[in-house]
Amino acid sequence: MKKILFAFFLMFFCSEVSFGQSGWTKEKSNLFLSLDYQFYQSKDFNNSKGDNIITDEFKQNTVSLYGEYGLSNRFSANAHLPIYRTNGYQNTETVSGLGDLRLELKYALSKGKFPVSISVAPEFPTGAKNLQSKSTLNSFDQINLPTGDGEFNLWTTAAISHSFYPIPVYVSAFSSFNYRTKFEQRNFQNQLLSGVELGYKLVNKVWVSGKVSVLNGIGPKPKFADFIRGDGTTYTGVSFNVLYEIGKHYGINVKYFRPTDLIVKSRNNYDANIFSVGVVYSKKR
Amino acid sequence: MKKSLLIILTFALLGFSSCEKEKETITETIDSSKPSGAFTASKTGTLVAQNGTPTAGTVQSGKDASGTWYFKLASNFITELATGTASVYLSTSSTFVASPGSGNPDLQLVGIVKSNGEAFYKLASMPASKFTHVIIWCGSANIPFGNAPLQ
Repeated sequence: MKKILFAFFLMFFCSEVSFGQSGWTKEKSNLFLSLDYQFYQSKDFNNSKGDNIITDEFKQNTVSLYGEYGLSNRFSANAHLPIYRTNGYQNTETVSGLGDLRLELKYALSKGKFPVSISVAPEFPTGAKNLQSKSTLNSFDQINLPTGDGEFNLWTTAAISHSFYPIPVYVSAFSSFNYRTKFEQRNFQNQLLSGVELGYKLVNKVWVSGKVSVLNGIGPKPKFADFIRGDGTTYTGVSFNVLYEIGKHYGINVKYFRPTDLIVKSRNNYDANIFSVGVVYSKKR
Repeated sequence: MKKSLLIILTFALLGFSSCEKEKETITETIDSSKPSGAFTASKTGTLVAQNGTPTAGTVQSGKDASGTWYFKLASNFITELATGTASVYLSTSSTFVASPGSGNPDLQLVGIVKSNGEAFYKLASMPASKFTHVIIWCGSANIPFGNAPLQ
């Protein structure tokens, strides 16, 4: 029985809070939903060479919806949408809008001790492609802080996982290729995101996990840096997650993420402590 | 357990291996009319990039055939405009020293850059001799993109 409960946990919670980057897929008609709020602010910008420079403070808030549904015992359909995002500097207006919708079809290649999955996830430019944030100090400075990147791109992911039951530990590894296209006259650099996640049941109803991920650019480097669209952005991401189960179906999820220089240098992004808190819901058939 | 970890880590390594004040709004009117006749430069500078931007190119101040003063960004001018606009300032040094409370004596706004390449900005008069540098400035992020000494 405990083994079944543990398996349910892995399928309902662990993979989803990591954007489906695991070898598990949903069983048929099973559902997972999360509503998440993420926030960061920072003055420490890592430029395209990886050098740190101090800017005015940049702030971003995002409210996102994520869902995963079992189409069959091998196919899952996932969706992620930042439903509201705000961007702004300390001396510019705050602009806001919808983010880019990502849909994902995930297939379980194997479901044994080492479940392996592959997925294809198109990301559509549903977000605001251009949002001019005007200076609050003068009438002429402005900066484009869109809430979407303006391009169609395609993620393909392969992932493998393993449960160490009866030890309440799981581990997952994944690798994703992001085929990026263009916005206006600019071609975006393709990306490779890879990572390893380790999860452990700390005490009753409380799961903790940690992940190290690496985002790197593939192909020619962009001539111009555009951090808000993630073009030329690289980092070694370190994240920690705590999930508290509430009853059979609900949970509270708290996550911390920080881009670092551990394996790949952090470039073209803000060096920030990124926090998120969310409510998760799962339902089995 | 060891075997399991080994398989997972091998998979992960396959992925890793391919990586390696008080606010006061200032309103400025910019005159971007073109010079009439030939433009004759009196001072010239070459931009040096700052903060990892690709800023480069020639900048000049000078007069047109009718004696009107202009500031010119040459056709080889380039800067970081992926996220918006940048501003061109004449400055008394290579450092942007803002002092809005005292009328910014060390700076003179020349114009706004919205695209790379050649651009002219009409000046009210000959630039004061104290302005020895040009600064390409990103006001939104409060950082310089590049500067050039004028000689």
